Amino acid sequence: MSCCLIFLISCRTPIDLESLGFEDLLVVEAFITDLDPIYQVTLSRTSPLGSENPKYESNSTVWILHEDGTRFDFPMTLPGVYQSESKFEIITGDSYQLFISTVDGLSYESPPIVVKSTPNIDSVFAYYDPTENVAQLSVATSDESGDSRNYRWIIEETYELTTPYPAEWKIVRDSLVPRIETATTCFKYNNPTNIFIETTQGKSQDRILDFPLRSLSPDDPHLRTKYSLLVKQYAITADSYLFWSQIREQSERQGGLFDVQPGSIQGNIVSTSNFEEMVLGYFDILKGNEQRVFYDHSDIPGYNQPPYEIECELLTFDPPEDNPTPFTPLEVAKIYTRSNLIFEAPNGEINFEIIYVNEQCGDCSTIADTNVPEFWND
Amino acid sequence: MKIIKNKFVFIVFLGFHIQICSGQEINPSFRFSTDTTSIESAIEIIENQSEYHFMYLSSWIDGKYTILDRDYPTIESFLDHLIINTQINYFIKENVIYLTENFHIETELTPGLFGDEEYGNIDISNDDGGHIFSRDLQTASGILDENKTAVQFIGNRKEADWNENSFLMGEVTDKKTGEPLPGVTVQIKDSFKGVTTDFNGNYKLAIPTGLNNLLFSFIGMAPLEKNVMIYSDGNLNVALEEQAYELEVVVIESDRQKNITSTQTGLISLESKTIEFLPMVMGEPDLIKAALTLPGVQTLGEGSGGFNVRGGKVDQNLVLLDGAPIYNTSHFFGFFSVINPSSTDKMDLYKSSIPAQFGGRLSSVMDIHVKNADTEKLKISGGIGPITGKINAEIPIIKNKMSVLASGRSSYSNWVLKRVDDESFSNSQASFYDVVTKLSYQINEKNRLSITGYHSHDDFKLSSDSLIAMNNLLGSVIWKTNISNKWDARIQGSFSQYDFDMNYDRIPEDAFLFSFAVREQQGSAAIGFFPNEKHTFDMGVDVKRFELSPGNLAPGGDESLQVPQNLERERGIESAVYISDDWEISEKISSKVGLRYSGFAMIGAAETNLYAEGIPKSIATQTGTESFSRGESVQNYHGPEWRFTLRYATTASSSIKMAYDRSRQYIHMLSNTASISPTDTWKLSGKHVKPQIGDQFSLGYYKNLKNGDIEISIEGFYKRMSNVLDYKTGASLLLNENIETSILQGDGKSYGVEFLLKKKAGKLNGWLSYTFARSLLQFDSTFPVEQVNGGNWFPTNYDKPHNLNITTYYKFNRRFSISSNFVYNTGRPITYPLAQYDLAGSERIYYSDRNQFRIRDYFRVDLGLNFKGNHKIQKIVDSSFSFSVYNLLGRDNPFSVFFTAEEGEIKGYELAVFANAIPTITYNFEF
Repeated sequence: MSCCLIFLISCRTPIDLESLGFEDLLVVEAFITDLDPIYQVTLSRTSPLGSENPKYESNSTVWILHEDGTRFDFPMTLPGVYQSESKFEIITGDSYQLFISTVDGLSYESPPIVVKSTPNIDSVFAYYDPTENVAQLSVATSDESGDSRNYRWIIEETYELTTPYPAEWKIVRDSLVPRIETATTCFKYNNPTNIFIETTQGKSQDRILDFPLRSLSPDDPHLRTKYSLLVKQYAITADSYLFWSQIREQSERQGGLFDVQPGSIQGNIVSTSNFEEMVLGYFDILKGNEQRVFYDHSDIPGYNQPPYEIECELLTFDPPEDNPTPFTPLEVAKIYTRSNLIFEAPNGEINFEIIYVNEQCGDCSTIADTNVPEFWND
Repeated sequence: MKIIKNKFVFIVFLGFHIQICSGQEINPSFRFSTDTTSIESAIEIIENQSEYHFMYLSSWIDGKYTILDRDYPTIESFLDHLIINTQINYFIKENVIYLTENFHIETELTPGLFGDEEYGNIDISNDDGGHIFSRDLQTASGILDENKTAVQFIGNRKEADWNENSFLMGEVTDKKTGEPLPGVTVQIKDSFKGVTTDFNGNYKLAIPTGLNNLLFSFIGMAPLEKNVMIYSDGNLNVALEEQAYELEVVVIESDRQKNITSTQTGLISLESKTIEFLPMVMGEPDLIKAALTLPGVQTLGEGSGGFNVRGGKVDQNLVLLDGAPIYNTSHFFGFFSVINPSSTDKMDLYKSSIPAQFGGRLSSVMDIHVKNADTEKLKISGGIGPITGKINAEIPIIKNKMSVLASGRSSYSNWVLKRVDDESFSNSQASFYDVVTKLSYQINEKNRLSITGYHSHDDFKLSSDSLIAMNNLLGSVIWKTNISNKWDARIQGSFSQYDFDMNYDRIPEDAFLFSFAVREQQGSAAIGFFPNEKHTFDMGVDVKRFELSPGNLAPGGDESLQVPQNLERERGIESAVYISDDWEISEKISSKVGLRYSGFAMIGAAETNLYAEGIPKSIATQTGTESFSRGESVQNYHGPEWRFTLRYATTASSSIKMAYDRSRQYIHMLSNTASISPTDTWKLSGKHVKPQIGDQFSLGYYKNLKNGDIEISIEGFYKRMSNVLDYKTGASLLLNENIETSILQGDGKSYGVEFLLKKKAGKLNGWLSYTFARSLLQFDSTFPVEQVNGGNWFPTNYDKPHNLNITTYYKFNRRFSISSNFVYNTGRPITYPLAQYDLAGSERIYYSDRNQFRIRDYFRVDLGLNFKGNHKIQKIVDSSFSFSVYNLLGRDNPFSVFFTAEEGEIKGYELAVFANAIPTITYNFEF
């Protein structure tokens, strides 16, 4: 029956990224917000499709000009990375303009950008959506003045890992030795790179009640212990919204029959040396605010604790029968150290049955950070 | 040897098949070695063993067998056995045995026919001069073709003026249904003089007085030849029989010599019943998909709606169903066409030299004829396939006068989707149906009325996104009348509406309902004038009124925060007058000269945006708006549309034709997706959108072999288009109040050579078509923002230079046949990334010039097996099974290549729509 279904018939096959022609262009990343610890502009260049490392545009002069004429310089700190000397105050209603002068003597600039005020987030919330069978993390916001209209969110997620089979032994130089420090609680960080934007243009109120940021399956390992989402909200200009919506559209293509045909996306930075030169990227200068939400599987009724990140297979080591001596650490080491295993010997006695698991299942510090983030609450 | 000598044909003048028995004895030593033998070999044996010679056409006896199981004392007894169960008669003159094929001329004549002409017997006593009679015979032996058996006499011999033409008129009907047959070619054989019957099946032909050999031919009907002796004006009614052996054969353009004799170029005709045997995706017969196997007709890829003709865009095709335009031709995203072939008779697709009566689109006219229901007998047929079920009823209301066709088709794909064990599918829905009904009423001999209505509906919802519903609703009333022998007329009124809406309600606060609609009403009057056999004039007026609701956004419920938004309606009137003359300049040369003069007015009420002159239109350069009151003209456009064709007959079976035509288009589709999407909207010409204008030159050579069984044609074309619409990158075409700032108008050109080889008869038939063609666009401006690809020519996304199709059909016997498709074409152009870069934590893609890369070539083989139930005449239900495999080799032909960022990294994918072989079984029945 499935053969009758068009949706099942269509299929996507990965292909190699092959470069067919190339255009070398300047890329400006200038997302300046007061929520960041330091203001940063990154200058890079396009690279051929399929190449590994981006090329940076170094040794340029980068500065932002406040409407009153104050100039904030962004000296280069790393190749292509330019950071402001100080975290100057971004003033709502004032305009700022980005200037770049490259080592080749080419200059670029943005138009003056007026800083919008960003309303407070009404709430960041999570709920279980039974129709889609997902844990939905969403943001709600509103602006009674109706001035904000276009929003962009940056999200950062953190989740706690608990080692499912804390290891008590480890192999050190072919010997089985007791494990002194076994991390049982770790933290993982992830910054999804999806473009989260929404507009309320055409709505009677500047209000967003449920903008979905993240959907997690109820058995997603993220929800095993505790999950937290930090949402940074920025009110952006209509032009910025248009730019980021085009970036989103071209970055998150599904390959359907009705995908909009792609083309070049014009940002707000232009070359003042060569009018026809295409410059990629966008200059946003924003004031934002943020909110954090915690969530875990216990908030979803009817679901058991999700599994650990890594599949943990508990295996038993049986000493060979022709060797009545149950076990010598050296023998085991010879057999198993190659697979990097950590041993758990129940009751601490090594001549008992040996149960072993993957290293990642015995000690979460092998895959995550053990430091408790300061925002983590119990 | 196998040719009957002409001079003996007059024997059947008497209207009977005379058998002259010579009584000579056959060689008594002769015996047949087997009981069953072919007639042909039996004849050979007789010829070898006796003095007799046979005269016949081999086609009469091909493949026929006889049982000869004893000694035959006389030649007559032998012949009587030889021809048993055949349609052959014989007569013997001296040592020559003439075989003739049986004709049933007598039974076809209507009683009134005997009123003003003599038939079947020459009244020698009335003859006022025996010399004329002998002269008749002389003429007869001079012109008559070999396979003729009877001569009919028309008019009064006393009135005969041998140096003048006489008028022959009459009606051509379908022998089976008694219905008049429009469009039958009535031709004086081997002379290129001919006419076609009008809507009422009537013809009038100026014909040289004397003996003539007439050929009546019509698609799907057995060609009928008549020898007529014309003395003066008179009537000849004929009835054509369905071409029995072609019923189960793939036939296109079966009017044997029409491709040679007509002035028409670039015409594709497809009969519905012939395409039923082609292996189609999901077993769904489809006229448009079948047309794709013929030269010059292409599509973007599998599953994309619409079709492209000679490099034209999808919206440049005028698709008419009994005269009413169909705006959305696709069901189910484009996998199927909205026309259910079992409700239609045939389709004519004009790729060039579009008749002057049609206008309004640049590239082609697809004229689809809904079936006229049988007026004698109730017929019900239907079919069950994996996607749809369909049923068709032909209901006689007044015998031989009025009948109704009702036909419906519906998918049960929703049912399928619901049963898929995957939540995203079971939350989806996709279904469609279409219904068509037609009333045909032969009011009297001179008047005929038909009323057609059509509705199609689609809805789909993928996962829990918006629900999209689409509707076509259209209908037409056509009245045709025969004013006199020289004049006829057609009055037509039609309407068509296409609308879609999107309904989103997952989050109540965001719930909305978006709707779009385009409506068209059309009225036309056409007059045909046939002053003599050299000229056929067609003239008329055609008025269309358009009304568009470009977008209407409404909140979807009380909780919704959606602000209603209504884009202003657009209204326009397109009117045209036309005249054309199909003029036979000489025996060899004929020409069709036509002029259509069309005008378009966008009318108020309207508010038009004004922009600063000389700089690109944008919201920033808008200077204000201009208001127009209701009925006021906002903008006018008008211009001539020339239609010109010249045909030169190089021989009786080959010709050269050239054509030039111009078309103007005032309504345009806006689309920025690769495939034509069901939610693409339309836009009228107005202040900021100029009409599209297209010019096409074409030149073709046409050759028929084997009496039209094999057709070969080569056509070359060059086409220029101006004011073709495209969009700026990133343009939003929905609900855009300043839509003109997102639209570009530029030039298009396409050129190519199309080759077609068709075999129309025999056990193996089908066609091979090869096209080389390019289609290019150019959007140039002094402003980079209004350029595409730097203002240079670039290929359209359906530009596929090489195109090869081989469609074959092999009939093993009456119950079993095999059909196959072989399709190859160059991969289509896509826009390919030029570079990658990092932005906002992820790799991003930089695209530049459009359509500079091609995906892999397309190659597909399909196979179909057709089984028919047995042919017992008394059986109540006639049933058949078709088993087909689409994409037999399971080749994963790419539809597109696309790139996406996953976890911050760019990944490339090839998307194939039908990546596997798709077997389907369909069941059809008729009773």
